[in-house]
Amino acid sequence: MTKREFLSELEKMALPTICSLQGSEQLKDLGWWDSLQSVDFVLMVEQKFGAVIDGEAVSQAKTVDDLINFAAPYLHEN
Amino acid sequence: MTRAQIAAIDYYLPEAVLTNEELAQLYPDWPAAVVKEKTGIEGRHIAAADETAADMATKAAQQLFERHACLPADIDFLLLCTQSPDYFLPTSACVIQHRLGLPKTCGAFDFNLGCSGFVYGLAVSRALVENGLASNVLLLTADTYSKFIHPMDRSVRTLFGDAATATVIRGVESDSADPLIGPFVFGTDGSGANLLIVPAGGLRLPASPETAAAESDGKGNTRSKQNLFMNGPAILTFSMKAVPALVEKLLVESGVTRDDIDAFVFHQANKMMLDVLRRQCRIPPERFVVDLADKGNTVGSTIPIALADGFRDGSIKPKSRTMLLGFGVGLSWAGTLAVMPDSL
Repeated sequence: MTKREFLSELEKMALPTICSLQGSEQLKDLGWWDSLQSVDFVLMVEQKFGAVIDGEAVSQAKTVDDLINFAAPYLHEN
Repeated sequence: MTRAQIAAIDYYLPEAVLTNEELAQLYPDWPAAVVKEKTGIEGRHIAAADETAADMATKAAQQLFERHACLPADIDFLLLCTQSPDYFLPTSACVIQHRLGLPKTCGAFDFNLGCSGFVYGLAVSRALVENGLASNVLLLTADTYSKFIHPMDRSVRTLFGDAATATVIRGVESDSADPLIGPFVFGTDGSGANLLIVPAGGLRLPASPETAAAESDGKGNTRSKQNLFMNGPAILTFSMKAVPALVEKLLVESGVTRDDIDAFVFHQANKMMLDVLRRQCRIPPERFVVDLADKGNTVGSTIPIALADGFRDGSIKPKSRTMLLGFGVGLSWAGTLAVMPDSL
């Protein structure tokens, strides 16, 4: 999965909110990122990559790039 | 030899039900259908303002006495698992002993655990029975987390419900080399104490106007330090790490395989968590009990409620071998195997 494809997965999580994420966005400004989404994110990474990431760190994430970093070891460039 | 076995289970749910539709009125971003899809919960029973966990536990036990052969006079040890006691002191179990009319020769104490509490209670009960210290243990679980939850904290208000259960663990004569409850696997990690906590109101941080001040968490929830806080992603991560390892260790310790287990009864936290744990633990859905739609996460009561409901609807058979797993606040976890009786 590429970074762009991972961003698309995050955009799916935002539905019905339509958004186009770049990475630099602040999570608190997104409007749709909340406590349920942060749980969903941990589950999504487990389902896509089989990885159990640090949920406490996810709860402290500030930006979309912070979220991408959790998946970075499993992303490729193309 | 004398073996401890679960002999009877009953439970009590408060009358009032909080539905997803009612919650959606408060949290428009979380429609009722979304809450149902994510949590698997449609409604939660909520204790009345003047109804405590001890009240509910007493009712659960009274129902059990009314429906089963066990008499109050038969009980020689009372255990209450609760995190919402009536008082700092005295122990709620002592108050309940009197209310139920249990013998004054009966031992009684509370223990403070949440979602793992029922399995810990079974361990203590088995030890009491098989060491000749008791013949009929009444194990109660009861909590009113709703009283800790801020009305505008949707992260926990959508999940937790109030309930109480009453279980009798009895000594029976058995020729089997295997226990009827056991083996047990335990785990504790207090480094995660802050992940599921009511920070204020105890002696570490006494209640004050400052601790009562509610504030937003920036993620759509409001709470004070006197309210329940749960770090959802962190609790999920803990569960995904602890539970599969617990299942494996329990299978090794017991010398059985997954195919030897008739029903897997995990703590009913929420549907999202149960789905991923079932998949991680490679358990077929037909043997994995899910029972939280009309009750929510009732903390230490979810496992006995699921056993009682499963017995009543036939999904858990008499004499079947069940795997019981509790995990959560503490952090604390425990698992065991339990052979069901002929009737419950």
